[in-house]
Amino acid sequence: MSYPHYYEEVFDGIIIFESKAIDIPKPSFLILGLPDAGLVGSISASHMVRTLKMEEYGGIESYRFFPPVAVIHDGKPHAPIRLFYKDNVAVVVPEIAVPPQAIYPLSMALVEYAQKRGFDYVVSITGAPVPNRMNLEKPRLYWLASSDKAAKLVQELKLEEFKEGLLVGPYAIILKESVKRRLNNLLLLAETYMEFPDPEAAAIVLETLSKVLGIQVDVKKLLEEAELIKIKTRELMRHTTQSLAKMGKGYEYQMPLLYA
Amino acid sequence: MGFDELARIRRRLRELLGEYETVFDESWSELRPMWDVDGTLEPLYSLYEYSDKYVVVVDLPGADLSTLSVDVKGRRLVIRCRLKEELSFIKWGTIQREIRFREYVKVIELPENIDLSKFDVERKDSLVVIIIGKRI
Repeated sequence: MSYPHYYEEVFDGIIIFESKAIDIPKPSFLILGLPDAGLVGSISASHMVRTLKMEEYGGIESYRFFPPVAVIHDGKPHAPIRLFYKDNVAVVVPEIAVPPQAIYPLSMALVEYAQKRGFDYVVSITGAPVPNRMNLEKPRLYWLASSDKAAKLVQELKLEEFKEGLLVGPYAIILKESVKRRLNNLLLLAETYMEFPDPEAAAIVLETLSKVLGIQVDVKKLLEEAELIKIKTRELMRHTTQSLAKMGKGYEYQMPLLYA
Repeated sequence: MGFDELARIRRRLRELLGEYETVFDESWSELRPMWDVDGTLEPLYSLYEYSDKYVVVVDLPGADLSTLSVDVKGRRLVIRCRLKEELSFIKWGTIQREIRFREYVKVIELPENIDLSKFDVERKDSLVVIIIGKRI
């Protein structure tokens, strides 16, 4: 069975396809929910898709870098990374951990896609692992941006900026490439566990993302189903942790040498 | 070949064997599900080493922690805990849709130098923290 592609681009072995023609009004946002610490991005992105009843319009595949996975939903095969949209917001939702060998090509492909498709903003949602997450009543949220325009999205929200440190993983590459290519990339990072799924941190990210996007994403159900979400995402978390270890995620605990 | 050289080779062989076992365990763990047909679930956990202790943190979401049991048999830490309610996922996979999940079970191999005279279990929300002494 092959996907009925409407549009397809190949970026260094990564195939990004759209199976229906869509029009995303301006200002347009591409939300990235890649599996990372605490699965914060993945949990946030999937909750957003479900709550807002977003429509699937395409996917991301790689016969070179991804494991040979078909995601079966309602008896139909889907790509391991799925694209959803509603109004001016598109969301990238992976169902697999990003293998270390796919990090660079996938990150570059996402930046290329965002630029070619004309997205005004790329918003990366993720967790910042902290060793004392267990003792935090409420994780804190930080932001980081590739441009002044992206920074303006959170200007009124009085959030703390991530000022000094190391970022590791696909979001780090996307941020650097966004600076180079003048793409507006905003990162939202919530304190989280490195190795346990964290729906509470995902809820914190979604509350801020709602304000950035000007839409209401209800997190009540996310918090009510937190325990069930943690049970359902154990294996994704295990695969993600293995991938994080191989990509050197532990560097995030390190202080930059030229710390000011 | 002197004793120092032999000791160095022996250490290196141990390291290589350890690395091989780690790679094998990782590969094997990727083939092994975190659930079983007998209705048990495998929880996520982490093992941390400190100068004077080991700390095992286990995530048990949805568990009835009043049924938690933590035992050490030799070097094996055995954790069991029933879920608050049985769970089933009726649209998932093949055999999975028929299973009623009811309990977490996890067996963790501990290092050789544990000191069971220091042993404590704490709970924080769905996390269970097991502190085990270390012979220095």
